[in-house]
Amino acid sequence: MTAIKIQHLTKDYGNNKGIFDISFQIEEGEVFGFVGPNGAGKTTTIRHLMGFIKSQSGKSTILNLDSWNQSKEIQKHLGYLPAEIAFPANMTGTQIIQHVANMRGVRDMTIAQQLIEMFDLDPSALIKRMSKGMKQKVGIVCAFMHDPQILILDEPTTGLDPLMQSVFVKLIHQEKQKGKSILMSSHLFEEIEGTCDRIAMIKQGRLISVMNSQDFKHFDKTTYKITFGDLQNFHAIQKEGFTFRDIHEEDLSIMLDIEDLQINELIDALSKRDVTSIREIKYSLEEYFMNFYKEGNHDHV
Amino acid sequence: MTMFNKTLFIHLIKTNLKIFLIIAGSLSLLIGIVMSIFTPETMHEIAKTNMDAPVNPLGDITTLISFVANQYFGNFALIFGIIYSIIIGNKLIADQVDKGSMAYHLSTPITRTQYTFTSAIYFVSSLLLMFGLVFVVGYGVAEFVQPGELPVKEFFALTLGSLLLHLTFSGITFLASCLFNRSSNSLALGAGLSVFFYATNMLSGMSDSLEFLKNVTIITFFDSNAIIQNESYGGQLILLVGLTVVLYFIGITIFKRKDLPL
Repeated sequence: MTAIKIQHLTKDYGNNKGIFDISFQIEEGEVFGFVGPNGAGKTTTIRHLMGFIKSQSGKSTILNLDSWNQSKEIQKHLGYLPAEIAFPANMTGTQIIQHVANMRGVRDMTIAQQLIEMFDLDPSALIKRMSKGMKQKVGIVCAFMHDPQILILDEPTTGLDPLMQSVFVKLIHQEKQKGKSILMSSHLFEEIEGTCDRIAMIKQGRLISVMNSQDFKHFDKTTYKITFGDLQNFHAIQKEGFTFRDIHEEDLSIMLDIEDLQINELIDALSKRDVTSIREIKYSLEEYFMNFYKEGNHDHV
Repeated sequence: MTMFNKTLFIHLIKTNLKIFLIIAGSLSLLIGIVMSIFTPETMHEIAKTNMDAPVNPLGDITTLISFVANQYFGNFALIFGIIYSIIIGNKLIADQVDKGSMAYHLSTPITRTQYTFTSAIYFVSSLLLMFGLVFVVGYGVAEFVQPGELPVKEFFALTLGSLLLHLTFSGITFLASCLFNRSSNSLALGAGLSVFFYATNMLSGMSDSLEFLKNVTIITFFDSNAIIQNESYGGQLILLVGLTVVLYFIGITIFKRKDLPL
């Protein structure tokens, strides 16, 4: 059965805001990455799936249930982690988790307990005293504790420290092995790269492309920032046949894009020169995506 | 499909307990004080000292029941009840949508109507309990301190009338809360309208030239003088009940259909 199906979903907020004719579907057992800049329409799409807003045209279904009319039925099989997590004030994390369990009719708290341990969470504090990361962990426990068939995770690792982000990636892998269908929006490349089967890019409310992550991983290009000890070396390197992205004379640094195949050439060239520092510049996910997209993959459109 | 959700109801009791206890506690304490202080002797003395006053700002306070009608239900209970309705009305829906915690509720297997209906039941039953307490405490203290001085039937009718009025206020703030996604707008309408009704009611009693204001406030439907003088008041109270039902119904219907920015 198709886990999530979105057909020509449109919600026009005016001023080019909103989402326009979005269509994609997520199969059972598939992990689907949803990326795009802020305000692109990721959350608006997710709101439709949650039944919080009604589309102007098109429709979305989860497990063949209409997401506007049958949200109650859908929620039984769904775990949701919102982008901006907010809990009722004046409750402790433990109370919040227990209340969700009661609402869902979950009696067995084994999974909740496992998650609490996995994320090293102390839920006994009041929610309003908690840091962003702690609230996020409480949200994760609430979204996963009933072992739902489908997970919708809106920027799930915001607020988590790098260690916890990797714990989260591990959790996604576990769920994937159990055959869960997951829709995950994200800004972080590492999060998406290792986990998603397919990735959709949305920009200005329109779906730009959907691609398999295998294709995506073949993009082996890195940007380095290299600083030189003196002006002579700085000028000499520019005569070599590299693609320079940026040249800063003030601090004698250059930025260059390099394919993995070219890496030995670069090391060779640098070995003869006085280099003070070399640093890899991380692409933002969007940049990665846009670059990849530019490199002749127009057939995806 | 039942519209009532017990788990949510218990959650609402817990999260609103503090404000309920403060308001219900204050109202019970006040009625207790009124019933224990205003014995026939005290009333007589007050009447004597106020003989020369041109207009009595407190209204007719010559008997215990008229004091309860004009001062307690016409003033203290009115203010406290309105404050309760403004706070709870806003907190139940609009505040949760505004803060985003509504997503937390609606991502569990519950329909929007179950959420709003259960909230409405909580709101109504909390007021019922509050005024039930007022009646029990008032009657109890009066019978203890000055047995036989309180006309129970009238006191009951006053409590019931006041309850129905406050249910209407709760309907107003509840509707405002369902209508808007922002606390500020919900409060502007809910609290604004409530305060307007309260103010026009006060002004209408101040001078004859302002008496026409009686026609614009729902508080007029709670005619405490008619109640203590055994005139007919049933029709007006039924009107309040009808108004309350309509307000809650519209609120629930609107909330079911609207887009939520969660």
